Amino acid sequence: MELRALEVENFRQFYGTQRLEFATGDRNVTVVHGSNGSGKTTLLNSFLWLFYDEITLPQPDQVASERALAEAEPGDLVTTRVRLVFTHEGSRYEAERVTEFEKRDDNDLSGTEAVSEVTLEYTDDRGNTKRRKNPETALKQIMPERLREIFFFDGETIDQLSAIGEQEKIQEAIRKIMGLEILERAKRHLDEVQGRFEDEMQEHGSEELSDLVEERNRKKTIRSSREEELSEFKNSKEKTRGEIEDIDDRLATLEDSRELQERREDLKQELAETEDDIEAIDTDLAEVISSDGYLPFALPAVTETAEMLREKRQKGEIPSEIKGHFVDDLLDLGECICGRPLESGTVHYENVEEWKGKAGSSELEQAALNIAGRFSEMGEDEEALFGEIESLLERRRNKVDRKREYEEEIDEISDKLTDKDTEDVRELEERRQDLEDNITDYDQEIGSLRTKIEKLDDKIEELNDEISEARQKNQKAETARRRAQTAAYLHDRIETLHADYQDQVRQDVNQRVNDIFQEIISKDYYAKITDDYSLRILKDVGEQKEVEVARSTGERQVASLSFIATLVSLARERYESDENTAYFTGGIYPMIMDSPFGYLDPDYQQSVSRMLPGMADQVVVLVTQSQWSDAVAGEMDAVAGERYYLRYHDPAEDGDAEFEQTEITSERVVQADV
Amino acid sequence: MVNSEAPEDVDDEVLRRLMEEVLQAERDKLHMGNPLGINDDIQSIIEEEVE
Repeated sequence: MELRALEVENFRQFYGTQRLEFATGDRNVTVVHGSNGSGKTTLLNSFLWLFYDEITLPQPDQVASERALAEAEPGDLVTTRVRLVFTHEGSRYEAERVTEFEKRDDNDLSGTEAVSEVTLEYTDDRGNTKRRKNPETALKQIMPERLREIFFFDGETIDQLSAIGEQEKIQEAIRKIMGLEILERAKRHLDEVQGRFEDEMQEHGSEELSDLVEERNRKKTIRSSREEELSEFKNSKEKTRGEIEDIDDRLATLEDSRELQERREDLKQELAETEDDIEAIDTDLAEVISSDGYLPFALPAVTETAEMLREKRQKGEIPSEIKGHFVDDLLDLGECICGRPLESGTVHYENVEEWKGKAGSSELEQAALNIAGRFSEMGEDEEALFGEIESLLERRRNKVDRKREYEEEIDEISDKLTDKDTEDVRELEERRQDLEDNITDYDQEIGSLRTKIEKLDDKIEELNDEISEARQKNQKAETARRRAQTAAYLHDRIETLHADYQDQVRQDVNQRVNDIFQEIISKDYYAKITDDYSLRILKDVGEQKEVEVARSTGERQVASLSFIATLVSLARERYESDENTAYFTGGIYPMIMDSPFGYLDPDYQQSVSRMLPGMADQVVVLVTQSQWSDAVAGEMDAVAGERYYLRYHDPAEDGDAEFEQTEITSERVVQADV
Repeated sequence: MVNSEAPEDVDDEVLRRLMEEVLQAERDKLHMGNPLGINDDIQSIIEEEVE
């Protein structure tokens, strides 16, 4: 952050609009001289009001200029404004807080806040001006509120930074300025994102897939076993069938059985053909029912519709005697078929026009005629359907009778053969009957097994679908798991990086604080930030022991100043270095100090003023004339690029001034401290 | 639920890029006190790289 200009309008004792510009470049020090009570701390407070809407002065509610309010009429609004122009991370910013105070009555010199607005405009790297939607938050991110004592420090109280209990401020300053906050946020957010992926993992993942695969494999094993059984039964049946054929051959050769056996062979042939015929008839029946079977169901509805249309026709509603377009033609022509003129608005015209409502729709009439026509066709179709079905059923009945007759005759032949006196024939036929019984049993087993296998196939197919679905879900779960692991890995890496970097930062800060401190302090003390982030001044007492030493306010002030200068200078070094890390690019921060030499011994004053310009890119000091000693002036005159004076009008001393008022001027003003 | 070892099938170059992108996303929203949507941003960054 580099300050460019500050504008205050009717802010406390700064009446009207006052402006100062800040020094940059080689002569980077801006000095604001002012006697005690002239408005130095008020000027510092203008930053606090802009950034944090806070005033740390007595009567903090007195924001608007008393003089401006005195000059306003009751009901008028007095504008109070602080505007700061600065650059930050490559962009130019204009921050402004404006509050309108309403004067309530003649004696009201404080005003009542009516409207207040904060704006933060910035110019992006393409030169476009944009406005932050979160100006107050954004300002606090640029200049964190908890660090305000670092950025806007009051020399009279800055020593408190090295007091006990200020560890949090020290730690916060290190976190914010040295870039640790990005790592901390990234850790927290990666942890939350990891949780999201893990939820996704749970949502999609399950043991379902392995259970399904196991179940499918089990079904496949059972199916294989059933297939084997089926194959065995088929073989047995085939073998038995062969055995029966052998017996048949034998019976065909024996004298006593030949004739019956031949007849049986013929009957078996007839039986097989009849069974084929019955199967063919069943197929024909299925086809007929499939193509025209709807007719018996649809016909009642069609009949009802046709009946309704018939009634309408009888009533003369369809077809209509008068067509709509005929009525339209008469009206257009302006003359009725009876010769009466038809003029719009006349009774005759309206009478003829009424016929339009009675005229039938040609589309409806056509549809009605179509339905009526189709109805008679459908009736014929239904009759044909019933005729065909009846014919097929009749044929089937005949074939079934024939089949039964063949079976009975075959049975009769078997009995006859069993009753034969010839032992060979009887035994052969008995054996044949047993084998036929076996084939019946095999057929039952084969049928049962085929049904079981079909059911298993259905189940396996169903399981295959479920497995495919579960695989897709598992794929999602697997992707979510890898993402969760990636988030966990990044979190772990950043945690390690944070720990290492935190140690490194602590070492760097410690080293730099002590270097600066010792350069200012001539004693053998050293400054240190302890493990609990306390800023301490210590002395080495030998045997690797150190003790905290009693310190003057000036020494504590130097320690605090050293700490602030350390952060500002380390951030600047990182910003200017080529080393590139995403989490800490450093930054440029100004040092704005009110009475920085307040409690310092003359020796320290000179050391501090010599070092100050080098500590930060930009230094703003607000000093009294008494603090601007020869030693200080000797060091700083050459680097003061901008110099302003606060001309204070005290009503007690200045007869012309009715109200307290301060002007910012570049003209040298020397006023005695109050 | 998951360990924090480097995920299999995600090479070092991708992990390095992810680290940079996540930290850059944080940087982009550092000016916000409560960086709304940052978890969505990080989630998208990881989803794009780890498919």
